[in-house]
Amino acid sequence: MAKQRPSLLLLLSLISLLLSPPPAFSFSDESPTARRILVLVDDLALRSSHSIFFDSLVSRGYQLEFKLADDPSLSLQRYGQFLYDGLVLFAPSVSRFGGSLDQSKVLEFVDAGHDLILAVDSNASDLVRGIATDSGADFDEDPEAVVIDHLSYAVSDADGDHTLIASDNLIKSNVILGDKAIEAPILFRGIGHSVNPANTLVLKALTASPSAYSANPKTKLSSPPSLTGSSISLVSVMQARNNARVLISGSLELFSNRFLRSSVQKAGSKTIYDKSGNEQFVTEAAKWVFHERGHLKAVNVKHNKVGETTEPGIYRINDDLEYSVEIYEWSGKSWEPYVADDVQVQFFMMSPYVLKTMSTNKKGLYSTSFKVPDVYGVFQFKVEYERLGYTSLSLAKQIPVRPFRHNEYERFIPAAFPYYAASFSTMGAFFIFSIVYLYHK
Amino acid sequence: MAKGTNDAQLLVQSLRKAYAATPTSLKIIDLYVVYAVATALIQVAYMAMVGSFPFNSFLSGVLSCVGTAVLAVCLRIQVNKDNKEFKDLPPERAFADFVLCNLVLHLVIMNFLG
Repeated sequence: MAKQRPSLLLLLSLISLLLSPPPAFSFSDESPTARRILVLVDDLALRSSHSIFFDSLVSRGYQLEFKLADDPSLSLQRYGQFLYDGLVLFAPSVSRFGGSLDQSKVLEFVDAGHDLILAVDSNASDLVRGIATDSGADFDEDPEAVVIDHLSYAVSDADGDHTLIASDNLIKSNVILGDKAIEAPILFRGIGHSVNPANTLVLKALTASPSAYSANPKTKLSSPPSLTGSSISLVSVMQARNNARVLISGSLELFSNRFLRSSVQKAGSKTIYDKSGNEQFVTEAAKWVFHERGHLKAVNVKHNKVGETTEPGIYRINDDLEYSVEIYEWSGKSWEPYVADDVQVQFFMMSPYVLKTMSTNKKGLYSTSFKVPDVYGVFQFKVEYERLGYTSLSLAKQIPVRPFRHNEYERFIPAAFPYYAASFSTMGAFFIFSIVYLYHK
Repeated sequence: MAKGTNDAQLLVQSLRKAYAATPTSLKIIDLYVVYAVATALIQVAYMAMVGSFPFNSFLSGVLSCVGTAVLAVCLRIQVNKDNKEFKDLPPERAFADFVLCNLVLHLVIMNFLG
């Protein structure tokens, strides 16, 4: 009996391992939405002061882990594998991260394809400013400057120095901000940043009005402010070339319960909105950042000659061929067919010889057919699809195209009948001539 | 000027008389050459009108006419009894050359006609 007990224990532990629930659906290409998110805060009180935002994330299935930004046990990776799929940095005043985290590690995290939400406020440290600059948003260098707007501020009984702004200059994108329009203005209090107009990857999601400027509210202005008007971005989003998404907000209070629940009245207008647009804005923007919307995948590239089903290894010039691809969009839980009318395919060799817009059957299948051009060489079927807010699709499939074989040329061309007649008449004349020449008297 | 046209008329008449004296076989060859060249000219005029689309067919047609005309001219030179250079060449040999060359020419033409 004593001998059998250890083996019995082993058997029981094996059974319990098999019966335990399988690991939660983790971040992968098949399910692009992040699952495990690390939230770094300066002060754990943020957990309750921003609870509406965090609860909305949890209710959509994310696992949040809250840590202080200088926690010595912080690390994003262990043994080469990332421990989290997304990072929320609500720690504006941290000057050094704890543990093994630093600015380059955060950049590495984004470079690996993971998403980041970064929010700062008026006491933003250099570390956080550096992370924002890496992502394309340059905050105002003056550490005392905040965004002030004397014409577009929110009427409230607090300040009076017009640093609480009500902004409704939103980016026009249903992918990023959802289908429903945000009607109420969005409350913002914090610092402004600018984005380089030559940078195609960064977009201004919430822009300041033309009357805004970035300056220290407590002192007199000695020189014109460097950041003014619509070049100030309040909230920016960035989609990297590896489809990682970053949201940078100049105001941490934008996410707070106080702003989410408060009513808004823009200065100069009589309408009082019961609820600011903050909740809708942060919820929809977070959905986009964590790939619940606007994430495309293209599968099943097929091409064949019209009338056949197998994919040939080579085409001939002037063949008729068909090309099809299936494109799906991730809806947060499953892959839905993507419907658009501007997906194009190119038949490319150094330059596109054929460029056609594909038609869809509304179930995700895009197809078109065209004639191979009269040029031989090695071509590529290219689909390069980049739309604002969507992940970029870049497909290329190589296929050679050969010229006619000697027996594939056109024969008996009607335009050439006179030449055929002339040749045969010459032959006939030669025959008759030789007979006459030989047998004449 | 009357003298000019008179001279031209005299020239044409003397040419006609001389030509009438050539042997019949040579006249037959001349006729064949004229036919071939006329066919070639008709083809060139057709191409000028319609464009050179099946260019290989055009070349083939013109070449067959011009080639056979050239071969007939060679035959005429070799068979003409007044030609001192080919005095020792039997006319049968000249005709056999003509026939073989024409066969090769028309073989090539058929291939290139497309």
